[in-house]
Amino acid sequence: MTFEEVYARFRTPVWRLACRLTGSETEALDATQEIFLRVWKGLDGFRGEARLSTWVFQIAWNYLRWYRRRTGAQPTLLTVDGVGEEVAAPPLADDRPDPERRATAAQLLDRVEAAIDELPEHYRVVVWLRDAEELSYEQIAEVLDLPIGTVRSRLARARASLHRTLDGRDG
Amino acid sequence: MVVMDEPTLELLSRAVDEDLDHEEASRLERRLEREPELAEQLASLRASREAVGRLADAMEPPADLDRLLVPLRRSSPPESPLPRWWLAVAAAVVAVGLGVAYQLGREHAPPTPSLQALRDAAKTPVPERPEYFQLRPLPTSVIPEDERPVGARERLLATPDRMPDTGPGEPLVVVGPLPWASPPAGRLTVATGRTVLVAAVPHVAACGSTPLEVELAVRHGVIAAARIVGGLSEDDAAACAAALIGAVVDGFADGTYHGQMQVDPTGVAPGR
Repeated sequence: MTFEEVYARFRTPVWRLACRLTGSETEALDATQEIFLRVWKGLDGFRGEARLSTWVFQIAWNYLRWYRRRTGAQPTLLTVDGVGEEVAAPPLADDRPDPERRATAAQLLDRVEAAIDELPEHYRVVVWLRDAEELSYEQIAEVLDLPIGTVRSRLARARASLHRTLDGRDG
Repeated sequence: MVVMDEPTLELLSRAVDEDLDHEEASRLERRLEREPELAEQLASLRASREAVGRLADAMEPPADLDRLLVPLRRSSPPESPLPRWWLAVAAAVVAVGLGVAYQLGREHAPPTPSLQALRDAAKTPVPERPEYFQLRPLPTSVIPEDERPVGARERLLATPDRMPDTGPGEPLVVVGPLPWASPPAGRLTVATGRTVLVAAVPHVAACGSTPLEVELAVRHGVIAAARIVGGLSEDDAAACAAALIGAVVDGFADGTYHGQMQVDPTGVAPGR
């Protein structure tokens, strides 16, 4: 697989993960460059023992974890518009005009985003790799170098915590 | 929300992912019938998962990302790690002006096939506003040198308006081509908007689309050595390096980086 193909396939997932773990779009851009530089340099040596996605996410996670540890950067919420506002979930059959519906949907996404960013990093990364990037438990375990049981338990706690936060904001 | 024990919570979470075996799924099914709060919790976890998925779907990286990575996308990965021994060999020192004149004034060998291919690629239309890249610091620059991890010397050419940042003796790896303003050959426009006239050497123009990797060693604000790492012939590498150094100097010319320019002949013109 060429770098071009790898980049096309993973540019968005890597950038999204970087956003979640740095909390800043600017830093996520920097980090994504860094990560793809490492992918670029390592691609020749990628032998396919691991799945490509696992390999790329491993590089991303290792870089982002190092970056966070070294800079001591605390994530700042990327988009928090609407946080704290009481926004009812849109009904399934919604006859409001499209712009209004879109605005409500955007607010809901902002709330989800803020709730994720409030999670501790070790929960956030697990829930993001599973629910956003749809990696399997096995892949997540490999990327994060954790036992699969730990992945399962962290995911459960992360989801529960996420739900509690969202639930609290609804109320 | 109901507070529940960890095993149950994990069971529900695995159910969301359809990770339960047949027996576990059956047991859970029976519990869900008896315990409506459990069913409610399962629905909540599913909803949370879907919400995260929707958020991911809505996230699109800015176009800047692609622009910054253009050099890499055009390049091939290096075949081997960059050697560092050459940094110690700073034997014959040539002022860059002399170096440029010397290197570019020579006859050059015929282009290699790979270079020809790159030249062909260089004929593709030049964007109205050239893609400008400039050395820029990484976040690693804020970290003490002795604490930087392996690989921290790697840098990309990226956005303008930020100056390079290398520690004393720290090699700076530049990956990717500098944008060349196509013809006239040898005219190099750098991110600062200034133009450096290096010479009318067609080989230089060919470098415009060459995945060019240059290692510069900056010591105390002075570029102490430069070396082309890549598939170019020695002569082409020399021409490109000389031109590139000129460009970099121009990029530094706002006062941050001054000093004598030195070109390591073992890197730029091996065997000469």
